[in-house]
Amino acid sequence: MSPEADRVESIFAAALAKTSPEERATYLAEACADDDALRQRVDALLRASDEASGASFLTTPHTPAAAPPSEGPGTRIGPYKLLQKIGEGGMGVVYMADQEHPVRRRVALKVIKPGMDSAQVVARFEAERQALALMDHPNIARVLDAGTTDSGRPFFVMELVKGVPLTKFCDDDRLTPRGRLELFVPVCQALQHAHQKGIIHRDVKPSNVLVTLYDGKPVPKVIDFGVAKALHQPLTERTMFTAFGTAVGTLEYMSPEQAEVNALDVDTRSDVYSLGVLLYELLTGTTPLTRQRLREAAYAEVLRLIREEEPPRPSTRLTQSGEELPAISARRQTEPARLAKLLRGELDWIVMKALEKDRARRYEAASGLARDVERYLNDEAVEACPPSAGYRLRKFARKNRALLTTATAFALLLAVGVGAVTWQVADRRREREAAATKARQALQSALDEAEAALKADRPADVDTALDQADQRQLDADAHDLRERLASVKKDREMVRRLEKILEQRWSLSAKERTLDASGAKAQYAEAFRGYGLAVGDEPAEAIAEAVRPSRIAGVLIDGLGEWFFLDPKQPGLQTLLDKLDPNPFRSAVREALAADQPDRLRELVAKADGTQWTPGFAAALGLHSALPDPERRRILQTAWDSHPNSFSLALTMSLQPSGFFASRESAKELAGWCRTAIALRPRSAVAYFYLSRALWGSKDQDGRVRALRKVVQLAPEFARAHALLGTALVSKGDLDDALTPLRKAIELDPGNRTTHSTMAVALARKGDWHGAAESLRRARASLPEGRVDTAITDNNPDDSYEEGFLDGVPQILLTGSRIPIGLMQVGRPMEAFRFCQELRGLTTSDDFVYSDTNSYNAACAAALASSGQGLDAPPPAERPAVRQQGLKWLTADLAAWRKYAAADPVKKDQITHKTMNHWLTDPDLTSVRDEAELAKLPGEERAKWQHLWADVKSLRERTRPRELLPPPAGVK
Amino acid sequence: MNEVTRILSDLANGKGHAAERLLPLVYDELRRLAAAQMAREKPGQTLDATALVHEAYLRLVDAKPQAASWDGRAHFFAAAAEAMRRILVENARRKKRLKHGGGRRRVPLEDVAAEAPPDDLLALDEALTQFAEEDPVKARLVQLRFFAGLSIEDAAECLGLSRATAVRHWTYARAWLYEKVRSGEKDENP
Repeated sequence: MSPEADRVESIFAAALAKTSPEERATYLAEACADDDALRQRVDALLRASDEASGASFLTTPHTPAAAPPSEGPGTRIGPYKLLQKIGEGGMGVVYMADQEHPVRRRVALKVIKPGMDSAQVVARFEAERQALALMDHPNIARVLDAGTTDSGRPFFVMELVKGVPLTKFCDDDRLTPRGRLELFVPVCQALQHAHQKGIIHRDVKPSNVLVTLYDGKPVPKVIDFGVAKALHQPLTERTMFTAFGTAVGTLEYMSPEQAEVNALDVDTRSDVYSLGVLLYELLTGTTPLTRQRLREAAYAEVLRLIREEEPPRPSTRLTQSGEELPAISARRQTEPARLAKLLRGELDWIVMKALEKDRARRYEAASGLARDVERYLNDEAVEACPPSAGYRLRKFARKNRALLTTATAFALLLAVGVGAVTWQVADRRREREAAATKARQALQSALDEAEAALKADRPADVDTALDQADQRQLDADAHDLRERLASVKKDREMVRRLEKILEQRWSLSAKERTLDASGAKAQYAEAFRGYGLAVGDEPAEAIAEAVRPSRIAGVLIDGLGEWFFLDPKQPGLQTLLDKLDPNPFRSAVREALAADQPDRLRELVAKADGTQWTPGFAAALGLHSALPDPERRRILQTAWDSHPNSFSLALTMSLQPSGFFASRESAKELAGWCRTAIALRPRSAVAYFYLSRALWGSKDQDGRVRALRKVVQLAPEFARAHALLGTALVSKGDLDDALTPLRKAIELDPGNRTTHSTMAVALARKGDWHGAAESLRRARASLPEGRVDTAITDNNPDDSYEEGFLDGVPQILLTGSRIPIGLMQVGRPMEAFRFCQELRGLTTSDDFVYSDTNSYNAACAAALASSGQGLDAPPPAERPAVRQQGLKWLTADLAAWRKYAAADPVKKDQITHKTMNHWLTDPDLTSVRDEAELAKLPGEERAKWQHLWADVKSLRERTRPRELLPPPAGVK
Repeated sequence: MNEVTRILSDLANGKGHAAERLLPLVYDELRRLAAAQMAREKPGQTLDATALVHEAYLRLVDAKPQAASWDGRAHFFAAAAEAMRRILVENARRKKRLKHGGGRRRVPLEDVAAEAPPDDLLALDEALTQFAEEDPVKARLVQLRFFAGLSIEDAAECLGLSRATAVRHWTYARAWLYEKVRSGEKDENP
């Protein structure tokens, strides 16, 4: 430090020590005297010091962790290591946790909050645990363990359900009403199971029914039996409690009897009611008593509403939902009018039966509700029926007791009741007779719907309609309908096929796209030929004649256009497109493409305005390499302005390279385009794939994982998506979860070295050294010429992005250098030896760190293995070769150390000295160092070892520090 | 057997040469950990350097008692702080390059965003380099605290300083760096 700086510092420190500004000013004036520069410097520092503490300078982002709370991520409770908090209720906190023994797995751990461990809460908590422990059902989260923390608070461990609330899942996935009902049935069955065990959930609501994907299939799980109550006996002596008069449960889903002031009389039918509310919400998007309403009313009024107010039927609610309706319908992939129609009748009845205020009129059990929903799904008559006139009268009577005399009411009831029974019998017969006609009509309307959806390019609706059509039994003479059905299906198939070609191309990297062009051309040719359009063989006019009246003319023309962009010289294609799409501008563009005139193309495009684009044309041009980025963007944006519903435009937008510049805003924009594309086509794997890419650099890694899970669900054969999902999970540290997708990726694409190395990293981090070594070996087997250094240059940036490589190729080396150590630690020196042999042969790097440590570790492995130690010792006959290899390695390492010490004798002597000392004492090397051991070796080899050790000793002596420094203060 | 443990125990009495052999190892491990952590963080959270460095320590250093001498730890943390600094600076540089449209088009995978805006960090790095020329001890203190997340006590012990001295150094270093970074900003954006 210069004297000048020294002076600045001491004045600065002294000035800071002055408490009042006056004192400080006086001091500074005196200390700096006439030295203006000094004074300025000190002033600047003092100002900076104030501002720095105000601005928390140097305290973020690398804040040392604050004092940890009593529990939190990182804390251990028994064999569990807490990860992040995943939920918090009034009394407890739920953490995601890793169990380490006896099995390694990820679990959910619920622990009472500090300070909340009153006897009452503990009783309730205990009740929940016991309740859960009683149950064993695939749709109920299981309890795995329980205990108390060091500070005496109880906790229990549950199966970790990584899911989203039922309603959100349905909305996000835009499930159709049918899909929703199919998910709802197991929820009822889960509660039935609980009921059979004598447990009432009492708080059934969407956030307590989580949907999670198992093998790509959504499975609902009921969680949080936190307010559950045992039916038959108290689960704990101190009955759990809800302070007198306080309703437990969430208001929207609460049954009328739970809303009684003294809600002691609650049974399983209360859960049936809540299930009814859930079903109501699944179908209509709102709860019977809307949140809005509940917010506005006073608590007592809310309870009254729950007890007394009859909710509108689902179909009525839907038609009343006004401007919300299109969104609600879109989330159910159903047209607004159809949705209301769908709910009207049976579904209305089922829901209303579950929602009866009088529980005696509800379904007796959750299983009854489940069965009725299943009946509906199977097109059988449901048990629920419209409230009869008699019933309505009864209700009227109940409400207006003062007006009616009991006698009158009774008489009325009797008469109407008999009539209703007769009517129902007659109805059953008529129903059967009408069945055939009904099926025909249903098929017809399904076909109408399918055709309309095909024309409007709403593929999801086409599929729904076709599904419905397929479910109808047709009588033998319905030829016309059958043919129509076949033709619609053929069109649908063609749409799917074209979409697939495009998606496949979209899911490739730019480089691969170029490589794949010829494959795609062939696919187009084949698809059109298969559809009956032999482009190039038949006259263009004949083909055009066939295309024009088609239901899917637009899609066909777009497909032909795509094909043309790939292969502008395909015979007949340009002429055909000119006929089908006789727009002078587009014809001119095609001409420029066919004639291979990029300048002409740019000139044309520069002059184009929005009216000249079709979505497909703009999307194809938006990827064309002859045009500069901004130009492509402009084309796409202009086209989007006039076609704001085009999936391919949205997707192509998200592919624009300018979007990949790392600014947070453009990444956000990119993700936005992907989400738009997903909204337009919720079953598109490629849209989710792009979303995962867009989220890749963002903080929303969970979102990225979700998107990738969606991709593999929708496109289970897409190896890259499995690999990326695995990589993302490894990056997040979810090692166990990562293995499945990685294995799948390897199964689908066994030669991909990136996947193998990611696998190696995951396994190494899990401590599975053997598996890691195996994976790494496979990774390297696929390297060009088996060399790591080739891979480094080969690893071009575009690929590393595309392939989502975890950390670049050096990862191989690093993991590689750790693997032998791991293998030795688990008692497999021979395997370590073999691994080192490969590793040493692979790297030409003479980087000291890598070569040194590997040589030494390798020599240790050789010494251990050749002396028969470990679990995998080689047969005695092979041992000399192993040992001799060890000698070579150790000799090489010694040479490296000599060089190292020579490079800077003063600084490096001590290290070398210590290292040589270590060599002379390391027990791993005993078998090749001890005189007694060496005596057993053949003479020539023995001499070499003895020579080596003499060299080691001499290097040790030569580097011996003249005087060891005394240990620094504070060392024990 | 373990290279880091070996280096550390070998250096139990040595001074000052640890970083050059330790650094590449610590660097790689930290980079991996940091990437994993940053990927895991929720928006708005900051990188917990203490946890990272601690985890790296546990992973790299054998838990054998003789290896865990304080002196070895001091070396380790010095290397860890330097490694952390390089990681962050490298990321910031790359990010800046990408922002200005240089380099490649697509975001490299390691560039997981969770740290300070690149410009701030780069400015700090530059200022710290200058500061180290003027006052190496204080610069090391900053490095240990800011990049390795050490508490003032631990950092003081690493550097063989009393706590009071370390606090004084810290206050001065902070003012010095803040002043430097701020005046740099003003130069660039008048």
